[in-house]
Amino acid sequence: MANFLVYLIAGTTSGVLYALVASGLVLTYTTSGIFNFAHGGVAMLSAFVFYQMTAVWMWPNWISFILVAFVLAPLFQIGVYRVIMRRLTGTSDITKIVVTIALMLAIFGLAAWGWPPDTSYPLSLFWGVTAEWTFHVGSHDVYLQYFQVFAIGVAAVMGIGLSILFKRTRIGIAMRAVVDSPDLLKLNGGVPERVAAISWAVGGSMAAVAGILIAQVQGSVDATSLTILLITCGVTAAMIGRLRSIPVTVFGGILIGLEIAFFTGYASQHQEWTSWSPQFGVAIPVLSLFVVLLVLPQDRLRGATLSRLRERYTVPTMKTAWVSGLALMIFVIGMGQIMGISDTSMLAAGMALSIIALSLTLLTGYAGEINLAPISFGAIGAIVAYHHGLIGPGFPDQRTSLWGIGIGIVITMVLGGLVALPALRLRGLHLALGTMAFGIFLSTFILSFTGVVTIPLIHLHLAFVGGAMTLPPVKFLAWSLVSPKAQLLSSTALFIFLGVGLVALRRSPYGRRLVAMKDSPAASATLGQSILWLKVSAFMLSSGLAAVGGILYCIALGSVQTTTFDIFLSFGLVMATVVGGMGNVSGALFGGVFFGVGLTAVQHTLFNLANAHNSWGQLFSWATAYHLAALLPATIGITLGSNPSGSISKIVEGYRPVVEDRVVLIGTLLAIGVTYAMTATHVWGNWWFVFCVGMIGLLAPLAAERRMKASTDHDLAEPEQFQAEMALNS
Amino acid sequence: MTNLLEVANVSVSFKGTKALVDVSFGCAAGEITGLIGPNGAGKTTMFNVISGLLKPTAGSVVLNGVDLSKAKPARRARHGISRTFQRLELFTSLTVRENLVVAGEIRNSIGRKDRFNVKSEADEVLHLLDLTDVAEIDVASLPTGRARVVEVARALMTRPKLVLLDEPASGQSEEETEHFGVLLRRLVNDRGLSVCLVEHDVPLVMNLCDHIHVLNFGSMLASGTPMEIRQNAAVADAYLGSPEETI
Repeated sequence: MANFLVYLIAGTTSGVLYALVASGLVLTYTTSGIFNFAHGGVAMLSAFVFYQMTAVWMWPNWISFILVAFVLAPLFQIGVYRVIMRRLTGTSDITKIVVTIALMLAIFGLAAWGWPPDTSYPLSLFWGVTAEWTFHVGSHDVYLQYFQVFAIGVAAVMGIGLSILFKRTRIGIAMRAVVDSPDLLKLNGGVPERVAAISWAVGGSMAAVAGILIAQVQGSVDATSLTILLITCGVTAAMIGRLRSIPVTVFGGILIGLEIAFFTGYASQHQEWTSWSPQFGVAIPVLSLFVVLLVLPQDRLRGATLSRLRERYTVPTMKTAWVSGLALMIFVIGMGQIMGISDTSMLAAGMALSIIALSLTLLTGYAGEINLAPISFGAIGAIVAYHHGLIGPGFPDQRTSLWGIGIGIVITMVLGGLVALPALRLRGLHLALGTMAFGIFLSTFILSFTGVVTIPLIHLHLAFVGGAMTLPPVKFLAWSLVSPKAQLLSSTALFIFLGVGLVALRRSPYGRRLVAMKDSPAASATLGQSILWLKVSAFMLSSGLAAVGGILYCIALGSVQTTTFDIFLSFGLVMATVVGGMGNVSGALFGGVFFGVGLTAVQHTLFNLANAHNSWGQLFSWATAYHLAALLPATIGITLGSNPSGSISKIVEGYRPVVEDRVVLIGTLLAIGVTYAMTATHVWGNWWFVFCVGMIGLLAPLAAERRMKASTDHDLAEPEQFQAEMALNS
Repeated sequence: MTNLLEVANVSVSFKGTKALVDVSFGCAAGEITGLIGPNGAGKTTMFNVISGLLKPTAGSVVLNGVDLSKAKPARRARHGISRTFQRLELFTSLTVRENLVVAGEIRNSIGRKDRFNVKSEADEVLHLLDLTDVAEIDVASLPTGRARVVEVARALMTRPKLVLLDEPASGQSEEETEHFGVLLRRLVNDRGLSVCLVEHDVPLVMNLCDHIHVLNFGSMLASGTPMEIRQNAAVADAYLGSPEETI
């Protein structure tokens, strides 16, 4: 009984805080139509700033609390809304999702910059742990901390304040109006944007309060665990409220708080559960989310909202697809000649990531659905291949068989179908949330078992033995693809094969059906298309692609750990792919290579330089550059609002004059050839090669433009093009 | 004579607003049936109920003796109901021809014994509806009037028994409308098609339809031949205005 009361009090305390996070999420979603994945990030950043003020600068608790929660967080949110979110009108759900994810990654980068993750940032409770009232229940003592009363009190005051705001004030009525019909509000003299900005500010306050207080409950500020806890609990509570009702959301938050407290509490009394119970904080909300997705009623079929969207993709002909594939192969073979072993491995890993990204081309670009955890599905494929597909004697002669890859693909497809089925009945956002939950569940729960877990009946082994896994090279017919170069070339060939296959698929009856469904599910259904099964088939196919990429990725990396499949890496890949253009195979290539190589290459170089020149006292400036590089992709992702179709198509547009102008084309190829020859003969190093090719790439369109302008009067290329190229070349 | 489509006692309410109240009507085989009424009378709601996009609070939809009340939209389509949309629902990433082809391919899939050649069927329908000149153009770049014709063409690609046309003439010029009327009549006579037509163009409806049903505020106001509807005082009051004014 005494335990029961303890769990009840602790659960309610965390529950109201989750409710606070979730309510802020629902508030901003309903007033602006944007589901803010960065919401948990704002809470996390607030906790860090609060830590900085109280623990480093020694400011009083209450001043810091008020300053962060009611001044800084709202200001930050208003800025975010004004600068980024307002521009997302008329873009698809997917662009909206990806922009907020980019924002979250940016917040992560900022937090890691200001508060490096290798240090711990302890945060104690307001008034301390021992400031409490004691009650006697039977022969036991039950304690009620001042902090717990404060947390519940603050949440209650904010909840009551919000309902008064909604029901009694002008701006509150306008907030409710903007939910029902922004256009009508505008006609009646309201300003929907101002209403949305205010709701973002209020949501920021709620996130900040919850973030600071939950960090205190946890005892320290930890960027990853705090954000994941807030995202999973917040999203689940918000889904219980069906992203509409704040009172039901509050109920959902408290419910989750209690679930976690009781499960963790009672599990800690049983020996065999103790090693798992720390993971319950994430596993319980994730499982609850799946239950919610299962019981939610099916949505009405959506009409053709996409027809008015700004996103457009052209489908290449088969000939163009093959020629582009051949060009890529020649390029990669050339690069393979001059690159060192580690660079070759890295590019091979990038190519494998591009294959994972192809799963998004199919699912998102063609079928209009989104998977936020593609790398997690790749992980399933790799783990299955590891447990069921190795041949040969032990290390280093062991190989991954084609059979292993095959079974990895099949299991991933089946699992993908099962995971996605409940969410696919609903809208795109639900699938995004469902796949995200799956990714978090996989990396924080399933992969945290270091023993073998066997699924009964099918005798399928999962999990990491000893917390790491080394997937050996592939044995393809008689050849073993052991060297990094062999891996790079085989991955590239496979990417080309699958990429051209996807173009063929897009041009096939099946591809037409996918696109038709994306454009108008309602029209598709009234022609006789069974929407659910078409979506499931697309999701399964795309899971299969992710599995292929995941297996090759793990092989290219050599040894992989749980952190290899971190949900934030999936987010980064999705973002890079959307930036590249999710409707085209080239977007997947860009996404995988940019995410796997571009970013890592820059970071590695800077990191190595920083290590090598430690004694020069230059560490800080290198570290700064390192963090700036980490922020780069997020920054590009955030700008998606201005160019939602992705940057690749724009870059290609920019190079059209080069291809058309024979003189410039030959000149460009010659210049690249000379640069390559210089590098191959070791006149200069690889970085010079990258630099020179980058410069040539920048100058060629300019030269072509100039020549064209001399003959005809032609518009200059748009400035964004060059920014995008700069990003690509860096 | 039994009707091809029989809609019985259908009611729909949205959050307390009653969009349709106990509406029954039928569409006879080989005829053009008009469904008219002022804005907000519930015509498109009725189409959504018939095609299965909207679940009514009560009532049944029977096609050719088969009760489809509980069927999903796809199954209703396989039984021969096809439709167009008032707010265009074209597949905007595809060309005009691809819009037709994908419809034929969906129709020809799973469990169909009476498959047809989709390519030649598409050519025929494109020719029939004068769309051959725009066949390879992205459907998104068509003006509204022609886009509506593409919707009709796409609906025909499933070789339906019954087509529900939701304001096919809006956005079309007077000549185009007239031409469209002639064409529709020819389709009914030559192909044995049955049509249920929602339209605001009163002359078109009066000239074309064999039977007309008038909806008003979610209830059936009147049913009959064009002549009877024209002379119905209640209809004149609610919708058409006085007979002298409109006709």
